Amino acid sequence: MAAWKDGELGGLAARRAARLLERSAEARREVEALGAVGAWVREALPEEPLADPDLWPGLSTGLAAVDAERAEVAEGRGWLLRPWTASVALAAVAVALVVGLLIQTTPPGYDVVQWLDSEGVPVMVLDGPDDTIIWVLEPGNEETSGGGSRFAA
Amino acid sequence: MAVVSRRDIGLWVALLLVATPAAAQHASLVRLEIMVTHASSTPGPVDPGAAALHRQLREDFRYESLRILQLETLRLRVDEIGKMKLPNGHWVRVRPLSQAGDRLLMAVEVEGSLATDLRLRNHRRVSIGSHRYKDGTLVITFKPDF
Repeated sequence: MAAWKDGELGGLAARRAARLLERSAEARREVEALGAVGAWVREALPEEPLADPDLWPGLSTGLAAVDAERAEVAEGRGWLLRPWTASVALAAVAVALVVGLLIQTTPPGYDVVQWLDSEGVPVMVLDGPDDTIIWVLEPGNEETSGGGSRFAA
Repeated sequence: MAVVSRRDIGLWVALLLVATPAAAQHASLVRLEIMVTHASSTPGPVDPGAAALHRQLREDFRYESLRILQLETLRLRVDEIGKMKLPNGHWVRVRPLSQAGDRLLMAVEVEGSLATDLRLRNHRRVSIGSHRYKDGTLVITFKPDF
């Protein structure tokens, strides 16, 4: 009946459908129902054709959420690191990992830190003109250090 | 013309032998100020005594308050070990390894966190942020005076 109503039937099939409608009240009700559905659909659709949808607002919101999630993960590593510092720190850690060591020897320009062992935990060193900050990026290790040869009795 | 006897020479030599190590010991005495602060996410004040540290940290780290928990001054000779107990029960140990001119080589161990050798100029501050403590991080600042 839907195909007949939509004018998709031709020839013999269209004539059969017409005869069925003449004979069958149920078929007529079905066609009426299909007409009502069509009316609802027309009411629901805007009269103007839809413009090309602009997906960017949704995408940018989604990307911002992903960025925020990544920042949260980074924040979890460094707790109170400011974002740009965290980025620098993570880059420094990545470079150190590529080289295969993490401040095991004196890095160029690092005059203060001559040697450092953090037992594999990433460490950031900020060297200023009058002060130096050494920051363990994953603080909270409660295990006692096994090192300390400088302090052996 | 003054006559210097053998006895006088002996006395001077003895004095030199006694005085030189004493003077060297005095020269190598390192006064080390250790300040333990708590950088916390709980809003609150920055202790006036931690203002210099705050200027040092605020560009790179986020926290809402900075409180001094401990402040001690150790006086150490070269190779002498000094230690201080942190609020979380861990120890900080320091040991001046050598000192020449305005340079000091010092070993530092923050128990449960890191060990490092630092080459410091006089009065240069080094801060180590290591242990999580309550809602923040303990920051241990060393400032040598020699």
